[in-house]
Amino acid sequence: MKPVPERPPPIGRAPVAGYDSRRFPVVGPMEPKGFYRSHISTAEPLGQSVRDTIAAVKTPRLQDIRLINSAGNNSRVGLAEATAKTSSNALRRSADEFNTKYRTQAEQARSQDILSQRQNTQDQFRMDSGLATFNFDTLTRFTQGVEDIYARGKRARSAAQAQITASFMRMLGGLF
Amino acid sequence: MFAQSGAGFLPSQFQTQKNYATTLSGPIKPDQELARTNRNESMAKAAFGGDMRQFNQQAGKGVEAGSKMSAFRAGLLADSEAGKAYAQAQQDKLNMYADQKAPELAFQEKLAGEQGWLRELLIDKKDVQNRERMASYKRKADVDLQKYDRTMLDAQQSWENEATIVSSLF
Repeated sequence: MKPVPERPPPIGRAPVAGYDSRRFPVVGPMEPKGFYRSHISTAEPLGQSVRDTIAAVKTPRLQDIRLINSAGNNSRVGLAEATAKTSSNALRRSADEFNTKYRTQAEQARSQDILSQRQNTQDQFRMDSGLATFNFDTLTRFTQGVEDIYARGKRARSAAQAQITASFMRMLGGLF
Repeated sequence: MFAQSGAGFLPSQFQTQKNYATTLSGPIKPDQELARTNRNESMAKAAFGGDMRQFNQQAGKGVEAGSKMSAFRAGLLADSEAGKAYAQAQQDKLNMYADQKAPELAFQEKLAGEQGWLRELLIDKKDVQNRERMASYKRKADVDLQKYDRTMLDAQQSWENEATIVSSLF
């Protein structure tokens, strides 16, 4: 009689996530593949030329014929220029602050946009991996199922043949 | 300072047949022409106010009337007021640029958000389609396997019958 079939080899250690293996090839994609691009601009909204235009505060026009070349006139010029300069500086700061806040918010918005895209890619990866796993499972289940049924049929046919042979042998034994 | 932005076309209804298209029209900005007009008016007022005060000296022959000192004081006040108005005019300009730029970022953020929702919808759709395809594949495997199983059972039964019949002959 045929000997008892040998036990199968040990299954060994389980594969490690994220690595391909010869014994356990990765089914489906290995990594989420994404190309991320955002249209949220983080460039400064007010450029240098615009800022200069904003900061160009006009000096009040000094015109009083009787005050030209007098100490009073110098005071007025000083006052007017100081007003214009301080206004100009304040406006420049305001424009710069606007730029800073705008860019800060834009950077945050862009990071959220990219994160959202990455999450979508992750979902896609999960879906693709699940699909590939399921399909490979189904394929394996079908192949193994066919093998099971075939082996069962083979055994049944063999048993039927053995039964016929045994009957024949019994008949021969009776003859002797 | 700014009047309301005039909306030339204000749609009250929106409809589309597309499943995965964005709906935002674009950055909604205040009227730039209006802002420019306001700024120009501020500039004109600044110049006019300053000029008026400097030319409008006190008349008559009273104490200090028409003196250099009165002209100086009037001039100082005029310069101060004109300076404030010029600064305000430039502030208007800053506001104009800022008001034009701020909606752009808002629009980009909104658009990115809507695109994110649409991507989720697309993935959801694909997930549904995937499940349907997976079910088809599984169904095919099940049906074929069961069919083979039935065929094999029939064959087994025929072999058993054959064995029983042949055995009875001996």
